[in-house]
Amino acid sequence: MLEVLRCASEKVFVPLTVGGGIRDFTDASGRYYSSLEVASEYFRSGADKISIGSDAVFAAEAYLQTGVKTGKSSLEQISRVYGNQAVVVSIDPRRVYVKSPDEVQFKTVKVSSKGPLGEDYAWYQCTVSGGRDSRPIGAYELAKAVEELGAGEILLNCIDCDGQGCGFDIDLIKMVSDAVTIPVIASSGAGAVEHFSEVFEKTNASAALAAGIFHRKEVPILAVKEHLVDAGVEVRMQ
Amino acid sequence: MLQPPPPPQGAMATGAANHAVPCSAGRPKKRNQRRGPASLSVRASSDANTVTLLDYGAGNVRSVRNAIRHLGFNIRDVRSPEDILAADRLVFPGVGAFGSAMDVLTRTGMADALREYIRRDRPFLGICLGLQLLFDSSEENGPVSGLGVIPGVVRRFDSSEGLIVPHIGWNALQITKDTQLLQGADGHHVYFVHSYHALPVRSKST
Repeated sequence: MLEVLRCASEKVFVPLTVGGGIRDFTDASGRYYSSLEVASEYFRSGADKISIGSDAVFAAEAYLQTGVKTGKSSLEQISRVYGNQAVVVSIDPRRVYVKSPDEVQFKTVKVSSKGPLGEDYAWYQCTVSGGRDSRPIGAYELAKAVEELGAGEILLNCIDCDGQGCGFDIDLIKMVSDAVTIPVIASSGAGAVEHFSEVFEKTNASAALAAGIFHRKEVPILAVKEHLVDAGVEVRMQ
Repeated sequence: MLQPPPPPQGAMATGAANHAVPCSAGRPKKRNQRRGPASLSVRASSDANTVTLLDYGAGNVRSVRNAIRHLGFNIRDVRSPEDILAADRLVFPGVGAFGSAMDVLTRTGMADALREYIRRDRPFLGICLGLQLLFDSSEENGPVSGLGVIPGVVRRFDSSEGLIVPHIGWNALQITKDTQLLQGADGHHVYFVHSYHALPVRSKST
């Protein structure tokens, strides 16, 4: 991973964000590495920012339970040394429909299209370990907590929309981007150029991400940029 | 009773080791051979293609290294405060938080060397935090005192009116004063990633 990063950073002059494995761990020989040391290794190898997923969810849960910032979470430690702008928190929520906001203690939104049982509301439950485990915290609560703990940017995915190509989850992205003052990158669901202009028109997202449609060459990056310029969104064209 | 200051040589060795370990595998060129006390005398023999780089160990300095090499220059790493004073041109990149950077600079004796180097009006490029550290103080996790070379403070952008902070992304430039630093940047988008901005206090002499 570090070698890939080193090679990439020699050729690529756009900022690189690296995610995955940024937590405390002990290697085969018994040496203990703090998450800060892992992140430092990434930075020295060419990363401009690091991205934290599961570890940030646990840190946010602990913070919301106790109301105390321990300063010990990876999020707090890395942002203290490298600055908030170097720490991205990646959120992987799953939509959970409810009939009424009173059913859950988490922030809900009135959904633009009803749930399978005619539900009018949904909350967005955070997951860890690549979406395998659900946690008792919503995307809204997580976003606000990690902003306070030192996150500089939020990468907002949505498990329900990912890979569907049916557009971003506007309800989710609007809720989260209205809740924080740090930049939110909208992710999951882009399938056409119009999806990008829609997310900028309807939400406060600062950026929009797509991967599959670019890798599979279904939509050229240039087409997205040209569409956004036509829609009045400022985009780097060079 | 006064404690003796920590030996700067030892402190530098740590910084160098931090750096040499992860980079050794992918490094395309041999590292600079000159090191240690001998560096005091290298200035006379240094060539026009060498840029001295101050890597205090807490930032992504690799992107700057790559950029300097890309432009065809060699890099000499600062290992001691003397290396700063011996530099012909010094680049000070900084990704990182203000307070922790100042701690390292003060502990290693780099802070005094930097002040002296700039007082001598030697060529200097401070990037990002490398610029901000020149000011009197910063609001980042503070206030924290800086090097005090430029009168003024570093303030966080005010997000109370809905401004998104950190400011991150590609934006166009409005160049208000002609400068060599921005040669070739006019008309291009450049990438910003910062929460703070430096506010110099205009003195009578400027």
